[in-house]
Amino acid sequence: MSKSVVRALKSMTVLLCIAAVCVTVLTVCNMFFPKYMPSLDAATANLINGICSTGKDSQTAFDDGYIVMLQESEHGVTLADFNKTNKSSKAEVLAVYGEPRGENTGAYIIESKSAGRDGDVIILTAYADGKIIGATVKKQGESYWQKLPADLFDKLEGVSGEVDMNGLIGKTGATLSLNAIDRAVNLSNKFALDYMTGIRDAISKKSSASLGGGK
Amino acid sequence: MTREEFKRTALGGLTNNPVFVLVLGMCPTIAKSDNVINAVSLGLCTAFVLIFSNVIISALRKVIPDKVHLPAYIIVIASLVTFVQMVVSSFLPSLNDSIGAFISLITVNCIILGRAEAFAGKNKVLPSLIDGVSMGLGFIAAITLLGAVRELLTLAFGSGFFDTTMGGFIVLGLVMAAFNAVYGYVKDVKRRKTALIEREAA
Repeated sequence: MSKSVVRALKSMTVLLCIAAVCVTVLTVCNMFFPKYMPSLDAATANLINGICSTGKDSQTAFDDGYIVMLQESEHGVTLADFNKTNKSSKAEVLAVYGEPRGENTGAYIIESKSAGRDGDVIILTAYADGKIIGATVKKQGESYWQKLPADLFDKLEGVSGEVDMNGLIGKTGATLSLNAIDRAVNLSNKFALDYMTGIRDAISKKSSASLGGGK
Repeated sequence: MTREEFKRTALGGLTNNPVFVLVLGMCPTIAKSDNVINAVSLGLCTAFVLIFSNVIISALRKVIPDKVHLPAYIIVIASLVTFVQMVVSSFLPSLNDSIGAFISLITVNCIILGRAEAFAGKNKVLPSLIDGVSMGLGFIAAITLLGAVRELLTLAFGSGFFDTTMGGFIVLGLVMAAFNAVYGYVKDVKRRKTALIEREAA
């Protein structure tokens, strides 16, 4: 083997070794960092109350069970399995919330995420009778978020099934962020339509339980 | 490492200040010096990457073939930046919202690659560590000073100019001019003093 080939091989080996060590160290570190876990806290309840009003103030809605987080055992869908099946959508459904009491009794809210330009964009989409009645963003760190129109989520109201955000909104200057919203909302829509019955039953049970508890 | 070398390296952050003298890393300096908190945070993140990249690159300098030293440096720097981004997004989400995009850009910050190329790749670990700390502190001091001045000016004259990129450029120019004037004056006084002592001795 000529000297230059040996040198090239040596260079490639060194680069590969450095890259392998770096990736391994980062993977190990990543295991120990806390991950985002969806939860129903006062801030989330406030956001949900904003897109799917309970008719009460957010604190009362949160404290008195107007908004609840549905467990997988309640609506009968394993989110991990659903996300695995829909891996190609590049989005994930994180949690399902319901409103067993209040103005929009029976409405359900799906929390989903997709990768934007600067990390994950987490969207809350509220549904009644399989149609979107409101949506908002729970978490985002997008640099160009302000380029998106202020009435972005209003345009989703009344929509069901496949949504084309680019068609609805047009050019914004925040294409990657808009695509993330598009993916997250579309996966939510799919989940909402596929498992509407199970979610409704779970909310009905919660509703009956809360009425029973109130007696 | 001699005492003189140590002194020169340790004072590098002042005498060769990356922002005011070398004029490196201008993009994050102007973009995120609109207030002190953003400025200090980005300064700390950059200093962390600078110190550790200097140490790692210096430790690997004999292993890395000359022809691929730049890609190797970039891998090390990018890994450190990814680590910083993971820490900030996991433990300081609100900070991540305000400076997150600029943390990724630390990878291509000229200060870090410049120090790796000019110093860490040619010196032992200890001098490289001292250089990293010195340059890191120099960068933190410069960006914090700029952030403080811009925040004060914004408070005094209202938002809309000094907190924008255009205002940032103007304030940077003025602070840079003031720094170089003061530093030049101090150097001049010191030189005259030394000359006087030498003349008296002669």
